[in-house]
Amino acid sequence: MGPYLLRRLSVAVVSLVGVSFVTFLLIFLVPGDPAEMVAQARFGHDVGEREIEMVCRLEGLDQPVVFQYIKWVRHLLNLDLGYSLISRQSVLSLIWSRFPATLLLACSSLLLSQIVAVPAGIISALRKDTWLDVVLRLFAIWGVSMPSFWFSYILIIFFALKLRVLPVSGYGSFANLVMPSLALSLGIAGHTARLLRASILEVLQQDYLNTARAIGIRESKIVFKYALKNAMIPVLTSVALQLSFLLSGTVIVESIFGWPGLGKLILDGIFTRDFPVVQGCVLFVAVCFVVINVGVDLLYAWLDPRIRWEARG
Amino acid sequence: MRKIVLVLLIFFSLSLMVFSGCAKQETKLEELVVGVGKDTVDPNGGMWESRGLVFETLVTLNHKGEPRPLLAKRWEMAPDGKTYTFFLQENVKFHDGTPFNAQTLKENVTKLQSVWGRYPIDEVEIVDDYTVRFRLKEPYPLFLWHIAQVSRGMVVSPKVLKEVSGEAAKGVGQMLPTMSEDKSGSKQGMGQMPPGMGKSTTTSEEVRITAPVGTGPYKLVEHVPGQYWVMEAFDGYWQGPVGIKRIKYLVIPDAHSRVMALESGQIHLTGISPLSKIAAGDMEVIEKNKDLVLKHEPSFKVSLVAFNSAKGIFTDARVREAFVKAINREEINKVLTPAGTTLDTPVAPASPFYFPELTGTREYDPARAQELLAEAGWVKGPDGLLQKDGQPLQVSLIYSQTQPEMVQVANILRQQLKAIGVDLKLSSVESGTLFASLAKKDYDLIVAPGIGSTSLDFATDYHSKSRYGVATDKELDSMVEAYNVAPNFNEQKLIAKKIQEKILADNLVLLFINTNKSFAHTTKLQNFKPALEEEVNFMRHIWRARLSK
Repeated sequence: MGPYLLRRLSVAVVSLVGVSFVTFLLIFLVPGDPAEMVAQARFGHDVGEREIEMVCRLEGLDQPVVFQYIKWVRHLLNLDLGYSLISRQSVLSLIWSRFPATLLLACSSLLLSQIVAVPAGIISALRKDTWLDVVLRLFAIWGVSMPSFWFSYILIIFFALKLRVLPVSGYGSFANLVMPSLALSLGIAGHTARLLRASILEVLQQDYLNTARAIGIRESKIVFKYALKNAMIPVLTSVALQLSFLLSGTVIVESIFGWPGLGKLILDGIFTRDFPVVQGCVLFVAVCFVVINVGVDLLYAWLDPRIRWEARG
Repeated sequence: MRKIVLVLLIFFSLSLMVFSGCAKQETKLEELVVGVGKDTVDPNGGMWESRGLVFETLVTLNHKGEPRPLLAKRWEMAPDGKTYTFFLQENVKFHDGTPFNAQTLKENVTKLQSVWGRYPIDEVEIVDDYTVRFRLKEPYPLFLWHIAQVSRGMVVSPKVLKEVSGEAAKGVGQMLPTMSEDKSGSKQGMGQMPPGMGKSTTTSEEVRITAPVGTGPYKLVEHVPGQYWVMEAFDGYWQGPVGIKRIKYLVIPDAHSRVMALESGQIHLTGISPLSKIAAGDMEVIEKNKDLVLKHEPSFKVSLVAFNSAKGIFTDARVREAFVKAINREEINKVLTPAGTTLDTPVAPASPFYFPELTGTREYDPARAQELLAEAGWVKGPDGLLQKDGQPLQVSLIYSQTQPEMVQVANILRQQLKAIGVDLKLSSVESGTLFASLAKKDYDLIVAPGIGSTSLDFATDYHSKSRYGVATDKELDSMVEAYNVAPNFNEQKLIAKKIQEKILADNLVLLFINTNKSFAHTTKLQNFKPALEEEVNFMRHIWRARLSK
């Protein structure tokens, strides 16, 4: 297990360096001078050459991009993500102020989706080709194909405008959490249910389950104890991926519900060319990706001893 | 399997704990909730959206754009145009209890260079406790108009003005618009500052506002970044008791969500700033709702669909004129109303420099447009498009995604130009890219945001040395420079007319668009009269309003 983990982590570090460098380059490749945008944010739209030069000099934006990157990495090694060029708050504190909201929304929508999707997937597989299966599969397809922003507006119109039971926007109470979680969980639930159904059906064909049946083990025990554990492996991969995306890519839903998450922070940073914020957030999200992926790999090993054997060999 | 669920549950409940730790207890005071698109409060003391409720100015502007008393109850201007005497309101206090008087005003002017350093102030003389005399180095006819804008004339409690320098300057205080040695001779915050003043930005030492403490009707009491901020009534407000005790600004980035929040009653007012615009499609929804009120206030703001007369095909004045003649503005007005309208003149009717006699020079005349293009050598090709030396007449229009009304306007322009054989390519970019194109003069047609219009400034848009200017004409340059040093208001008005005549005669701009300020509120909000423009404090009168149950 040790060398396996070590190998995984070293790959992770390389990809983090790559991600940070590419992000850095991209910000400078986008049309629009960062110094100009920062100057506008600080001094208003009527900036002249002098304000722009001043920002350039103060923030070191006049140096070559590679030097700026090296400087950024040097600070990073001291766990210093720098300061926002616009609000002049430390990037770490900005991330820290937004991350709880993002984490909460990600976890609640993931949990919500699994509560629906896992039973639906199992029932669908066990009652294959019955009307129940057809209905569940239709729902799953509907869930996958419904764009989240569209579903968000429908939720708002129903719960906030017609029934008037939930607030349209905001953060801070359970009522605020309901609609964004629902909006995000729909797609994930549909996807997971379909995947789980297919996966269970495939596993149920396996020889060892036929053997189990031949021995006379009860069908329910076969399904829940032996089949499900194996069927969960592809589902787990997909759930981990979904969680990673939820931690970074929910900016539309965040905007609609006024949810103060990381996605919105990154987007605002891109528009104002506030690259320390963009850099810091992207790196943070990348770290989350890596941690989740390594975590999933470890879970695999726990779920499926064969992987442990392979890793050892 | 059970373990996975268990892990997830622990994860979930942990984050719930974090969450509830962050959640703030809401007080049950009567409060006005305003929906805004962005958190514009700077944690170091600056603010944008609600700055006008905290800070006041010596004078303000009424709906006709005329200076009116605020912290100065009256003023006198000497005939030489260089000496202004302000008679200050007595019994005015800052939120921290400091009295407002000649001394505190003088401290503002001498210390807060980011606001006052932009004017050619030679000396500030305290005549008595409530009389201050400003001596300017040269006449500055727009002085009153400029100090009426919150960012250009705000009065701050001297206790929060602190000098910061070096590394410390990075994390402290608000950075406000500073002056610069602009070559264009623009007076709006640039240009003729006396030597010695304005140096503060080049050295690392600078006086900054470290907390939002002014004389206005509200003070900032709470700010949760990215979510909301709360203003509370200032009990000692000099103009009288403040009606609405609390104002909460709720950040709702999505424009449609803001309108739905208004419909649901979660917010009471929205649309008060360019960062919380009401989308054109939502206006109908608001109008149909009898619990909501939609209003459109006129503004100074004029954005320009401008030609690049410096390079490309628009260097030919005939082509520019042809384009202007090819545009049927009535059709465009149909989609712009009621959010705005196209103009015949470079200046909006609300402005003191509007001249109705300048209208009527830009009539729709497609036949004349065809003639002019033929004169310029453009002939119809086999595909119906105009061409010259085998090159089709193809131009691009750059506009920003932050100008929602431009999407429809751009499409109509495209159709109308197609009718005379022009292929217009539309290019919607984010604002950083737009400003970069403007600065590099890298465009055929561009929607310039009309930065100067609100401060009656022509240099930002029409001087050749201005960064975001759309003109490159020496004669126009000298007119703009003459405008900036005009000895008095009437003289300035005359030059303003000549400048506008020149802009129209040269056809520098395809379309002038005057956007109204559209905002909406519930019928519960009563007696709210907005002021002209956010620069002169659009929500200034909110303290007189009431919120019914």
